[in-house]
Amino acid sequence: MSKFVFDDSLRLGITLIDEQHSRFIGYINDTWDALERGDSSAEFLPILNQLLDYVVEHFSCEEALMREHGYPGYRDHKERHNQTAAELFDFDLRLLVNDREESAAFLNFLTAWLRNHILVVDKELATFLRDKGIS
Amino acid sequence: MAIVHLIAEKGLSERLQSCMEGKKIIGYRRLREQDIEIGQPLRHSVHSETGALLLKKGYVIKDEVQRNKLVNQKVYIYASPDKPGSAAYRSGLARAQQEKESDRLVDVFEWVESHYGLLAIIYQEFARGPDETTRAKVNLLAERIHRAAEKHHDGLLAAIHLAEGKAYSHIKAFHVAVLCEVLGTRIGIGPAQRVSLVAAGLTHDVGMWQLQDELQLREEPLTDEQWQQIRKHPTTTVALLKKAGVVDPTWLQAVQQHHERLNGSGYPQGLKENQIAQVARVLAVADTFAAMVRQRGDRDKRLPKEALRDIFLSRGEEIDGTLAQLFIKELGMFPPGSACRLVSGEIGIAVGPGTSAAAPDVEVIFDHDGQPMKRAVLRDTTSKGFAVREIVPLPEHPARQALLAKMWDKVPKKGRL
Ligand SMILES: [Fe+2]
Ligand SMILES: [Fe+2]
Repeated sequence: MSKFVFDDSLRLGITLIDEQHSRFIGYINDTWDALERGDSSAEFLPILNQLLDYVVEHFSCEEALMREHGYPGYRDHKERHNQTAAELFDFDLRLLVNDREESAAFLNFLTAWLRNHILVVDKELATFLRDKGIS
Repeated sequence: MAIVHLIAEKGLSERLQSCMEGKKIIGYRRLREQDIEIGQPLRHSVHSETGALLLKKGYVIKDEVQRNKLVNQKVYIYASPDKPGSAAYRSGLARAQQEKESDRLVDVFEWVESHYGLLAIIYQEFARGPDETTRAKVNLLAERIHRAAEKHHDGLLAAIHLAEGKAYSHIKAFHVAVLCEVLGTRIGIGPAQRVSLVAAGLTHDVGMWQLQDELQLREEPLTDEQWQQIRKHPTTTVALLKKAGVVDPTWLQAVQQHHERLNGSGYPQGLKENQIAQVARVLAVADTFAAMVRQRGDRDKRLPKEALRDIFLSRGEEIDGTLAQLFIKELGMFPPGSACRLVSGEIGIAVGPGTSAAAPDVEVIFDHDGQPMKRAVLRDTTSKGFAVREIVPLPEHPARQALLAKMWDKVPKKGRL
C-alpha cells in the first residue's frame, strides 16, 4: 500500500478541518507502518481504540462549523457522517487481533473512506465556507 | 503570624492581602455552616474570595438551600478568632475534632453503599408522601455527591457500575446524579447550579419509581395505563417535588424537561431546541446512558460502546450534539469499573482515563492464564501489548472485593475535601 500523503491535493483551505484531516492521515499511516514492520496486530490495537474517539470529535467539529454558518448541505453531510460512524461503532476491532489480512482490509477501507470524505464530501463544505470568507 | 497563615491556607488574592494587612484584621476565614443561623440576621458581613462584599451584616438567610449555597461557595467573613483557652475556643476545637472523626475516610464501595441507603430512605418517603425533611435529605445527598465527585468521580462511577443487587430505579438515579455532576463540570455549569442538577438527577423519576421497578420484570408490552403514567411522569414528579417544598427553579425545570427532545419528539410538552433548558439536556444524556447500560425486563443491558453509539447517532435530533460529543470524550468506551480483557490475555478493571478515555488505565487481577493474582498490577493500555481487547464479565476472584477497594482513593464519608 502506497503511503497516504497529506499533500496540497487534499488541502481544503479551512485550517481547522485540514489540521484534523492531516492528523487522521498521520494516524492511518502509523497503523500501516506498524503492520508493515510486521508488528503483531495486537500492538496497533491501542491506535485503533482511539479511532472512534477521533471520528466523533472530527464529525462533531465539522457539524458545528456547518451549523454556525448555515450550510445548506448540513443534513446530507451529517447523514453521511452517521453512516460511517455507525459502521465504525459496529465494527468489531477484535477481529483484527492476530489477523493481518483483516487488518490490512480494514486500513484499506479507512484510507478509501477518508479520501472520499475529504475530496468529495468535505470539498463542497470547504468551497461554501471559503466563499463566506472563512479559512 | 496568623494573617500569613490564613492567607496561605486560603490562597486569597493579593488585593485582599494588602487590604487585610492595612487594616490589621486578624481573623479572616472561610464562612462555616455554624456561622449562619437560619432566619436570624448574619453576625458578619460576607465577602467573596477577592474581597468583594456579597452580603451585609444583618442580612437574613431564609433556608438551608440558601445557606448551603453560601457555605459551598468560597466566601469569607471577618471574625475575631476565639481566644485560646476560652470556652468558645475549646468547643471549637472539640467540634473540629469531632468533624474530623465523623468524616473518616471510606472506600468508594462503602461510600456508595451508605449513600445508596440514604437514597432508599428518600425514595420510601416519596412513596409515602414527602415533606420538608425529604427535600433536606435530597439536598444533603446532592451536596455530598457534588463534593465527593470533584476528586473521586471515577471511583464513584466504578462503584456504581459494580454495585450488585440494587433496585433499578435507585441505582440508576445515583448513576445519573454522578454523571450530571461530571458532565456539568465539563461544560462549565457553576457549582451551585450543579448541586441543583445533581438533586434533579437523584429525583428525576421519583413520580414513577415503583412502576419502573415493576416493569423491570415485565416482558409483555406496556398497558395503555402504564404508557400514560410514563408520559406524565415528569409532571407527576415535579408535583411531588413541590409537595416536598422544592422551589429551586433549576431542579424543577431539569426534571420537568428531562424527556423533551431537541426535535420535538419528546414529552410531555414536545418542546424544541432552545425551549429546552441546558440542565435538562444534560440530565437527558445522563439518563439515556444510565438506562441503556442496565438490564431492563424487556431488553438486555448494552455495552457502553453501544450506548454511546446510539447517543452519538441521535445527536442534534434528540440529544444535544455538543453534549453528546463531550459525554463520549469524557466517558469513553471503557468507563471506570468495566472489566476488560487486554491483548496480553490479562483481565482487569478500568480505573479511569489514562492518556484519554479511549485508553483507560486498567488494574489487572487475572493473569494471562486466567489465574487470579494476589495483587493488582496497573497497565497503561496505550502501551504495546496491553491494549484493551474487549469488555468481559468479571470472573470470580477469591480476594475480589479487597482488591477492588484498593483501586481508588478513599473518600471522606461526608465528601468534604
Ligand atoms: Fe472531514
Ligand atoms: Fe424519566
